[in-house]
Amino acid sequence: MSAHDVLLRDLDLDMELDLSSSREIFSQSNTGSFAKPLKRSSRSPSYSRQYLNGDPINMIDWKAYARTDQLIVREDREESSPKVCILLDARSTLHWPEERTTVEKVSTKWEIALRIYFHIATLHIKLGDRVSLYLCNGNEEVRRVFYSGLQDIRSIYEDLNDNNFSEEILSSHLEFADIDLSQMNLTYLISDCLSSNSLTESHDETVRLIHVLSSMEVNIDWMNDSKCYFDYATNKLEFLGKNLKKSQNYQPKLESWLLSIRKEYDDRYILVTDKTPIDLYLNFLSEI
Amino acid sequence: MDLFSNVSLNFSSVSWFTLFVMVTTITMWFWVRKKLDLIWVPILRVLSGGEDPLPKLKMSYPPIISFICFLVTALCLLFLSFNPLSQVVKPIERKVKKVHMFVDMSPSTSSVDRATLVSKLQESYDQYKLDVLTVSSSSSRGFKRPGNFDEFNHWVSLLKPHRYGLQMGEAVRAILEAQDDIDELIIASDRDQHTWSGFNWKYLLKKVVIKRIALEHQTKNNYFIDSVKSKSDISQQRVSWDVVISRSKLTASSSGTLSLFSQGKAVDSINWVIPKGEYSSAIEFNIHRGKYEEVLTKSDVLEWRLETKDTNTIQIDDVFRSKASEKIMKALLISRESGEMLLEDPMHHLVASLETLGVSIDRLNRSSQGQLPWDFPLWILDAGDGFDQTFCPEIYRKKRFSNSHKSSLPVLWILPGKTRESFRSTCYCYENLIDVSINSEKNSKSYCDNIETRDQYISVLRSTGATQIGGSLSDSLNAIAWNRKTFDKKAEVFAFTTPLIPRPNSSISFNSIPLITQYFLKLSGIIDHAAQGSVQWPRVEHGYRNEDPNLAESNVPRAESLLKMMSLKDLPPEVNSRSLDETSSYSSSSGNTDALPLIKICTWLVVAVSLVEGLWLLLKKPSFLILLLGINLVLVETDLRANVEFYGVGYNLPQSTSIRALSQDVSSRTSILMKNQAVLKKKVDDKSLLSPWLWIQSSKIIRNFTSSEMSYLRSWLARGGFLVIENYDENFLKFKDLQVMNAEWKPIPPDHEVMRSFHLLDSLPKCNELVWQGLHADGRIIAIAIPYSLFERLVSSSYRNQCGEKVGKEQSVRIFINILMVALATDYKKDQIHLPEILKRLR
Repeated sequence: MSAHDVLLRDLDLDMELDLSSSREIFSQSNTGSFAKPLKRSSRSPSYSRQYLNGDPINMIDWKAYARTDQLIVREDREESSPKVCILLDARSTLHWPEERTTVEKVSTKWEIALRIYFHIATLHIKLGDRVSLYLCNGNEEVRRVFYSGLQDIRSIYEDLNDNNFSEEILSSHLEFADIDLSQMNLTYLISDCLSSNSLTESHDETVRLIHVLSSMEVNIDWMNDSKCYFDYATNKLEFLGKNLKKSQNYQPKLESWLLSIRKEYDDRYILVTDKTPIDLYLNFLSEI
Repeated sequence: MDLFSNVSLNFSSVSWFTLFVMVTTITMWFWVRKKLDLIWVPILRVLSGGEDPLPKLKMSYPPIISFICFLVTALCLLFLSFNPLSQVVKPIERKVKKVHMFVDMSPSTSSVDRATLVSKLQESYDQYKLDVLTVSSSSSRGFKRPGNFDEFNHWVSLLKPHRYGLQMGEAVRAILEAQDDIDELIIASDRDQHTWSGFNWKYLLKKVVIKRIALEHQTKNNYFIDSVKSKSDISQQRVSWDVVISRSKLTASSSGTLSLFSQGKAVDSINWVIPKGEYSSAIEFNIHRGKYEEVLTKSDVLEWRLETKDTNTIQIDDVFRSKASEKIMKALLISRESGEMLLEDPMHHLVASLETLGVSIDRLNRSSQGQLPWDFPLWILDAGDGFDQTFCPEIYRKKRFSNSHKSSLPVLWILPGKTRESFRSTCYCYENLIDVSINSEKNSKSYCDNIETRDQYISVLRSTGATQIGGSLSDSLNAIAWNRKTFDKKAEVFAFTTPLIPRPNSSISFNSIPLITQYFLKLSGIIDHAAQGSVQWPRVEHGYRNEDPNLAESNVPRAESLLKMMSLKDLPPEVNSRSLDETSSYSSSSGNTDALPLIKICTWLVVAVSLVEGLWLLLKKPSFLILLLGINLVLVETDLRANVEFYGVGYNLPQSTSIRALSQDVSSRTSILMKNQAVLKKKVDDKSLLSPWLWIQSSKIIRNFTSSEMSYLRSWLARGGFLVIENYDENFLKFKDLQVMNAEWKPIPPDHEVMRSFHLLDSLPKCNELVWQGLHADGRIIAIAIPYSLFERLVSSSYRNQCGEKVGKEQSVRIFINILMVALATDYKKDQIHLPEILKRLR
C-alpha cells in the first residue's frame, strides 16, 4: 500500500520521513536537523564554489588550486540539535464529532491531532532534536508531556491507541509548565482554529500551523434535513440541516475563512482532516 | 333554565381583560416549542449569523385533565367578572338580630316635627321588622316588643316629650343592664350636646352595633326662662322677682311677654326685651302684695310663661316653675360684731354666702342677749377672738337634757376665730354642748384646759369620736371640720377647725366659701340633696326612668334649652335609609331572578376544578400531599381551638337557652371559646359527667340523687371534675355523701385561686349570711357552693333574687370567668412566675 492510498486517520509513528534528507551526520556534536549559520571547510565536492573576496583563506582547497589553478572554496554548514516545540491547542471543539452526531464512525479531530502530535515528535527525537510537547486548553493553561526518551513517547502513544485516544490517558503524563515560543527554533501548532488563543495567535516564521478539521466539517452533506444544528459559543442561533444545505452559504463562508488563515501562515500552513492522504502531510513536513 | 331566563350580563373591562388572558393562555397551551434533535457543530461558529432561524413553535395537544380544569376555571372567572345589566340587591338568609330602638324624648327633641319623627321611626321599624325588635323611650318606663306595625304605631303615638333632661350614656347603660344580649341599638335622637356628651359609644361597639336615627330640627333661636329669683325684701307693698330670660343665639333685639300663672290662671304679665348682642336680659316682675297673698292661698307654685314674637324652637321650656312662698331658711349667728361689715366683720362673707343660698341670718352678739330662736334649724356660733364664752349658749345643753323637749335641736356650727385662744374657747363650747353628763361644770378638769393650737384642738375632736370632714384618711390636720352627733341623736355639732373667712394662706377663698357653705348646709340637712337649692324649683339633668311624678313638672335643664349641637363625627352612624328603599323596591318588583345561584355554581365549579387539579398533581407528584395537608390544617384550624360547653342540671330554663352574651364576654376576655348554647338537663346523666365541669341549680337536687348516681358523681370528682352547686342551704354542708377523699367544706379563703385565676376579686358576695364554700380535697377545690344562682343572674332576665340582683353584672361575669378558669386550669396562677404581677395589681 503506497502512501497515496493511506489516509491521515491511519497515521502511525512508524511512518518514517527523513527530515534532514541528504544531509550527513558526522559527529556526535553534529546531531540534529537544524543547520547552523556557521560554515566550516569540507572535503565534499558537492559544496565547492568559486572563491569570493572575503572568504577565509583556510577554506581554499589548495590541492584543487594546484590541480586546476582555480581558487576553489569548499564549505559545509554545521548542524545542531534545535529546540522544537509541538503545541496542541486542545479545546473542547477538538473532541468532535461526537458519537451521536453521525451514524458511521468518524475519527475525532482530537485523535487526528494526537496522531500528528506524536508522529512529529518521534521524527524530531530521532533526529536528535530537543523536542518539547505542550498542550494548552481553553483556560490558557499550558501543560507539558513528561517523557524521557523515544521509548516513553512510543509507550504513551500505544497506550492512547489502545484506549481510543482517551484524554485521561494523556492527562496522567502532563505537568504544568511555562512556554516561551520566542525561545523555540521551530514550533508546530496543531489546532482547529475555532477559538482564539494568545499562544496560537503567533504568526512567527518559526511557527508552522497544522490546521486540523474533521472531514464532516469540511463537507456537510452528512447533515440530516430534519435535525437541528447549533453552536452556542458565538450566537444562540440554531440551524435546521435542511436550511443549511439548501442555502449553499456554508461552503463559501468556510473557504473564505480558511483562506484568511492560510494568508497569515503562507506555506507554513496545512489543512488536514481525517480523510487527508498521508502523502500530503508528509510532503508538507519535508518541503519546508 | 329558569335560572338563566332573566339574567342579562354585561361585559366589563375586567371581563375583557379576563377574556384576553384566557384566549392567550389557551393558545399558548396549544403552541409548544418544537422539540428537535439538537446537534452540536462547532464549525458553525465560523458562520456569523445570517441564516434563517429555526421555526420554534408547533401545535400540540395539552394534557387533557388539567386543560379542562383550566378551561372551566377560566370560564367561571369570566362569568364572575361580568356586570349585571341591572343591579339587584336582596338580603339573603337574613340573620335575625336582637334590635332595641330607644327614642330620646328629651326637651331638645320636642321641637322635632312630629310627622318627621313618626315617619323616621316607621322607616326604621320597616328595616328591622324581621328582627327581634324591642322599643323604649326616655319618657316611659319599661320595654315593649311591638308585635306588628299597628302596635308600633300605637306606641309611637303615645310618645310624649318630657321636661327633665336626658344623658344618653346613663340611659344606654340602663338599657344594656336590663337587656344585655341585644345586637343592635338604634337611638332616635338629635345631636344635642347635653344629651350626648360623656357617652363613649365607641367603647360599646365591640359588643353592640350602635346606630342613630337622626332627628333634626331647624335650629332657630330658642327663648327660655333662665331663672326666677324673688327679691328678698318682702316688707314693701309690692312683691318682686328677678326673671332672667335667655336665648340660644345672638340675633337682633327680640321681645315678648312674660306672664305669671297660678293654678292655670293668669295673675299678671309684663313685656320684655333682649337687646341686640345680648344673650339674656334680667327683668324685674312685681305684683301687689295683696294679689300675691291671694295667690299664695291657692298654691305655692308659680308658673311663669314666656311668649315671644320671634319663632321659638322649643316650646316646652317656655314654662318655668318656681316656688311662691320661698321657705326662707333661717339661721342664728351668734357673733360679736366687730366693725363695719365688709372690712372688719370677719363673718361678713359667710353671711353673704348663706344669704345667697337663701338662708336669712338673725344675728346676736351674745348668746344671752335675748330669746333664742329654737325653731331655727341652724345656729352658728363664732368664737371670735375667744376671750369669753358668751357665744356659747349654755341653755342649749339644758334644753338637750330636758325631757320636755322632744323635737330635734338646731344644728350647731362652732367656728373658731383667728386667735389661738379661740381654739380653747371653741373646745370648751364643744365640750360643753355635747358632753354626756348633765352637770359638766362640776368636773374640775377638762381636756380643753391645755389647748393652745389647732393641732391640739383637732386631736381632742378626734378623741371624742367625731367624724372627720375634709382632708384625707391619713391626714386629719387638713380636715375642715368634725361632725359629732350626740348619743341621744338630739343634737348635732359641726366643729370647724378653721374660721370660715377667706384668707390667702388658708384653703378658703372668696370662690370656695359659697361652695363650702352650701356643702355644709346639705350635710346639716338644711338644704335638700336632690333639689339643689331649696329655693329653686328643681332642674333635673338626667331623669331616665325616674318614677318620681314631680319630674314631669321639673324645669327644663338649661343645657337642653341652649341647643348646642355635637358634630356628626362624634355621633354614631345613622341608620342607612337608602338600603331600605332598595330592599323595598326589590320586594315589589317581581320580574328579575337573582343571579346568586349562578355565582354560587361558578364558585363551586372553581372549587371542584381545583380539587381535581390537586388530585391530578397528587398522582403525578406524591410530595404534593404535604402541601395539601398544610392547606387542610389551615382550613380546619378553627376546630382545633379550645371549646367549652356549659353543662347545667336542674335549671328551670328552656332547653335552648342561648348564653351568647355570656360566651361573648368569656371569649372576648380570655382565649377560651364557650359555645353559645348551654347544655341544660333535668337530671345528671353519663354525658354530662364527661365534661370538665357541671353546674347544679340547687343543693336539693344532689340530696335527691340515688346511690348509684352519687357514686358516679364521686368518681367523676375524683377523676378531676369540677362541681358548682348553686342555691345551697346550710344543712347541705353537713351532707356527707359528697365528701370524697376526706373532702371538707370550708369558706373560700380570700387568697384562693378562685379570687385571682383571671380577674382579681375583692370578695365573693354573701347571701343571707351564707358565704361561698369550697369542697377542699386532693389539694384543690373540687366543688363550689354558691348561696344564690350566679348562672341565672347572668343568663336569665327574669331571675329575681335579692342577692343576685345586688351583685353587678360585671362582677358576676368576672366571678364566672374565674370559676371557669379554676375548673379548666386549677391553680396555674400559683406558679411563682405570676406572683410579681399579682402583687403589683393587688397593690
